Amino acid sequence: MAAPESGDGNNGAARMVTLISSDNTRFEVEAAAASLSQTLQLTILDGGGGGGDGIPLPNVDSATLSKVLEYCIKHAPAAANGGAPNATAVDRAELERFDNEFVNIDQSVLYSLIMAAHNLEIEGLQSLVAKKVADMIKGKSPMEIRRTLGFPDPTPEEQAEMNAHMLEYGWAYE
Amino acid sequence: MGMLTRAKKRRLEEEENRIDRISSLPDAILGEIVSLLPTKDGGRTQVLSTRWRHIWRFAPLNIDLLHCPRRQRVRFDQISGILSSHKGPGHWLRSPALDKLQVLEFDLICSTNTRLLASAQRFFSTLRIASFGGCAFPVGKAALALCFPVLEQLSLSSVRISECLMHALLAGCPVLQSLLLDNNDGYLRLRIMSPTIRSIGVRLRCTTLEVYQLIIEDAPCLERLLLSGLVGKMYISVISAPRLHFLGQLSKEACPRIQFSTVTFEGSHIISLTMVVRSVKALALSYMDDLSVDAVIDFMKCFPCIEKLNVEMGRRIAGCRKYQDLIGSLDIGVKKIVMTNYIGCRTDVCFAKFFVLHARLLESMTLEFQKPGKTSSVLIEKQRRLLQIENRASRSARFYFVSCNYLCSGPNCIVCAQQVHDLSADPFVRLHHWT
Repeated sequence: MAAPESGDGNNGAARMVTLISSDNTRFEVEAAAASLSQTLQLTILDGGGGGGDGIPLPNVDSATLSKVLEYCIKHAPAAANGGAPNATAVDRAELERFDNEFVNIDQSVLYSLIMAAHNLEIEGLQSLVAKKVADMIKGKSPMEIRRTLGFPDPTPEEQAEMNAHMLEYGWAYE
Repeated sequence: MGMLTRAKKRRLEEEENRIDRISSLPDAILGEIVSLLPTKDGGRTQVLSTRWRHIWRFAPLNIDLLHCPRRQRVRFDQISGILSSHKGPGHWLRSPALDKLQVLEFDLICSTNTRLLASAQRFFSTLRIASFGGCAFPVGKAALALCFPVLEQLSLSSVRISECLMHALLAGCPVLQSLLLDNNDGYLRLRIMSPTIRSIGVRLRCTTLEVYQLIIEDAPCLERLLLSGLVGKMYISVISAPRLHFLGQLSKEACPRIQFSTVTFEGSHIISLTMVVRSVKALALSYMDDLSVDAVIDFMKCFPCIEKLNVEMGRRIAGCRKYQDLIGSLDIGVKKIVMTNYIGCRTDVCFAKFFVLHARLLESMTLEFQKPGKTSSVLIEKQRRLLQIENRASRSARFYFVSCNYLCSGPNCIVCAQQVHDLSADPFVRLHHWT
């Protein structure tokens, strides 16, 4: 019988690896996509994650992992081209459209995604989600930011403190 | 019972979404997010809650001065207030994680805050590469001990430093190899005495009317002296630099006088010559009003061992006099010539033809036309005829006609950090993207 795992991609089929979420769901993805994660890259290079083994990810639940992998699969081809210096403008525009759509999500999902991106060290995703949160804050007054992020209404003390801050840091409010 | 209606479920979800989760992210991630914000937005996050109070102060600080919408811009007079409320850099500079720091890039964007520079002082003893920009070195009581025992590369860019401190600084770098002085202020005279220095690059402050003096008094290892031809005048005097290999770009405007112990050039005219400088192998000349064959013959007499000559053609004023009698017994040993800003007019042809007919060891001559697009074959044929390439002195010489696709081949490109600090590369090659 042929070996279950060929290891190198030389005979046509791309190498697959299995990732196991904290709630024990198994995800099979191409090694190239999973390798966008700096954390996983070394394990995969060492031949881990193949066959029946799978790499357990105790900090990432299945809903988040499936979202993370959606990102990785989309970005893997460009990353394989070394940041795709020869990518067409159309390809780049398509990735940008995907990214914008991708982070158009609820705050709780965004939170899990940020944590997962950092745990797995996926550089592109880390900047994408950080930028998303920055965009939620940008150009707003403190009250508007509080509302956007879902803070409870300020107590009278908090309100007084905000007023004092506006006096002290006038340059931030011009 | 127990079944949620669709509306109820949606309401619960909405409430769930409204709960702030972002604030529970770790400090490092919140800091990263805040550092992406424009300065003012970042400053405002301090007031959100106690959780956010310290994030901005310890995150990398952006100061938006120019390239942002007016609404986000910070005024110059606000900078020092922002710096003093933002504890970040001073705080990190004290962090033990930075002990034994080897590479420091320090740029204050023209702020007058000298405290930050003082907090960087503790790294001086371990730095191998340092770059200071946009800051002033304090004098008097606040003066820093400028002692860099292992520093090899130093760049000072838009720095204000007195002549006295500048000399103290250089004396405090006993193993310095390369030095870039770009657009600094505060000194008019600089003496270099360094047993280790191999490369010096100088770019003058563009607005000055004063004449700078650069005296290479004793630099036994100096290989490259790179000068920019920007506005600003400099007298250069080389007393001892026996290994100087790369020199340029010399231009009449920027270096009206350059003196090699006993040889003095005034503009491009030699005014006294009692010895020759054999070490110089690569010379770059630029923008000389009166750069004529005569002037280059003078340079060749002074630097008889030049192998590579790089000439940026200037305004075409010089005539095409007879030069035969001037050559005398001079042997033109140059092997590679690059002429940029070439237009192929009579003066240009006369200049280039001189080397075609007299450089016996010539290996290649590259003529770079100052116009985009491919050089037409008709033009090339005409030039080959005018230059009398058939009668060339060196039978093996090759001729290249290329076009320059960008406008910045000017002298301001010659002094940049990489050319000064990368001692393995030919500093004059980078001027030409086609090589």
